[in-house]
Amino acid sequence: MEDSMNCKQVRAMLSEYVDGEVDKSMLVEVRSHIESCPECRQELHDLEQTIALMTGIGEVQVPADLVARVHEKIASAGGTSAHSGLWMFFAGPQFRIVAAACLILGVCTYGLLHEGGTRSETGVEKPVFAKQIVRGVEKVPARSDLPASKGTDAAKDASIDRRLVPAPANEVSSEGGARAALESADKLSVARLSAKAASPQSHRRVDVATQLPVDKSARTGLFEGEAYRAASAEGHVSDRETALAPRKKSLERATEVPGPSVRNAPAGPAPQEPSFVGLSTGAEAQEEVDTAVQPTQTSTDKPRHVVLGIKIPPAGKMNDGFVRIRVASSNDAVRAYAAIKRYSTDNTRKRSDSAQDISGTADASSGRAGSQAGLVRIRKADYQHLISDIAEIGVITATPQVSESKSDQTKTEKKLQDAADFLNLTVRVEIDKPSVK
Amino acid sequence: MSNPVKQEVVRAKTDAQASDDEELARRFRGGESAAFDGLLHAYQSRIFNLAYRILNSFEDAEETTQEIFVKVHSSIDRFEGRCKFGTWLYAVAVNMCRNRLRQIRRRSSVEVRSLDVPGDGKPMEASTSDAESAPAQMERAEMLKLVERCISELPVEFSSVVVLRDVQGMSYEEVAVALGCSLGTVKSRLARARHAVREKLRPHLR
Repeated sequence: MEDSMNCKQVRAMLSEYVDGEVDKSMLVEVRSHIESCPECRQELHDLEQTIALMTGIGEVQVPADLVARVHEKIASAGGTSAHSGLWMFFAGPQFRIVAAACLILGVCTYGLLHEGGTRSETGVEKPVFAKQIVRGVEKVPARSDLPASKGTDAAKDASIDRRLVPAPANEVSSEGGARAALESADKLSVARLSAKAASPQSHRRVDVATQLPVDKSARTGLFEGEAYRAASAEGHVSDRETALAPRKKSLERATEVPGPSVRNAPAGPAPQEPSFVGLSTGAEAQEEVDTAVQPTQTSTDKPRHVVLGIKIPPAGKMNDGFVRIRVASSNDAVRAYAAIKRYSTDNTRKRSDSAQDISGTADASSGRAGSQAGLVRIRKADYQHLISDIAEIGVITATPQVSESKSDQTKTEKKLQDAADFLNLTVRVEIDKPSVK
Repeated sequence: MSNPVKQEVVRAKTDAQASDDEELARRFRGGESAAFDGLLHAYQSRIFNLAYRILNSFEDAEETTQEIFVKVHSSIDRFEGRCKFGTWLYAVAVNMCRNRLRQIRRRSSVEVRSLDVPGDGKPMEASTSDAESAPAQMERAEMLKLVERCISELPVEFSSVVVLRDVQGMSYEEVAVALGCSLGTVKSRLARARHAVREKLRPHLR
């Protein structure tokens, strides 16, 4: 071949050549190569035929009732139209601001009315979100033995708790306060569960559908996303709620069985089982707060976990087409992580903890905390799908080990806090016993 | 060679429509529901055809197209006008088609698509048993059906480019704008997609 371009170079440009998109500077060379090279000429011929065939398939006729169907669906979606006046208000940022302001005001008022004069140093300037509320409540037992110098957070948590949930008058000692907090947390959990389980629209709310009762078999079994998909594939379910019926049934059992009331229980080691795990999307966080601050008289097992409500990273923050998700994982988190892993770009994690490795670790340790944490990079396009998958899985859990030192526990919690910054999940921290070190 | 006349017509139509679409989108964002109807009529065919070519199923395409427009209707406040409305709409459409494909794959355990190893690596057979090697001897309808299958078996990133360019006749620039990617990306994806389709069709080409 006498021309300066070889076949490989020319073939790489054939597609552009067919479309007349080759630079003028290269055009002569490409053309002369094609004229002198029968193989490349054949390639060009095949490509032209292929393109002609693709062009020839033409367009299909749009279904006649497409527009009507779209309008039907929009109408059946109820008030979710972007331009129905009320929806625009409720969906808009103004509503969120107003709602947040009302919420903070309500919470503070409630707290002041029931606090009994013990105003917290946390003040009201710090926004109180669901995660802080529940986290604060449920952390009390774990932190009640913190030394005074380190007690600020515990005091804050207890304070938040007391401002949110009225403590009975006979529970004013620190031990009693902790117990009251524990009980209140219990109530909150049950309140949330009951309210959500009773909600006719629960299938539209991820957090409702993914409430897990305390059931280790449930936690170690097939995760609900798979169950749902399997059921859906077989046409056995019409919606998500139906698919999650077993879980809800179990939930009802958990709320029906009267567990030992914390208030009446003798002092001693608390029951170990957490009462539920939750999941919320950012948009639902505020709703959760509403429910969470409504104490009820229902009682069940003592919760021993921390629930963090986590916001969805807004789409606008995914500037480069990827969203980075930090994952602290163990137990149920393995499944969530496995879902994340499916969408992650493999070479970007900081650690080499594949989902399989984590799974093995978690299985081997049978419920003990894994130490894996990694940064995964998710394609922006896959993000919503991932969130949907995780929503079906329902939870990320980490369990600080009792044997861990306080600093290690703090680190674990810090990791989860980091995860909370990235994940649209409720993260549960199970603490088997009150910290002993 | 792709049809230059068709491309010119589409381009002219697109240019004329572009400003109209932006105006409609602006009005729709402003709360004018009738503007949505304008957008729906303007884009329904293109979006439906895109979905149909990607999903290769009339029913799935119909349902997905409906969902796409419902999504657009409910999420128009997220369209901030930083890109063209068409770009945003196509992005929504491609994403939703991708999601639908995943659902279909879950349902039918279809293998993961790949450009590197297209399908099982074997050239596709025509749907009839007596698939002859020469396209001249093959019924045109069958050949086109085969082409449709080839396109729909491409990964979405590639099938969307091929559909917009070779089936719907958009220019490279328009495809880049519609899909929100660079011109270089369009060229490269188009070349790879065409190559993949050609390899599948090769036994049937003269």
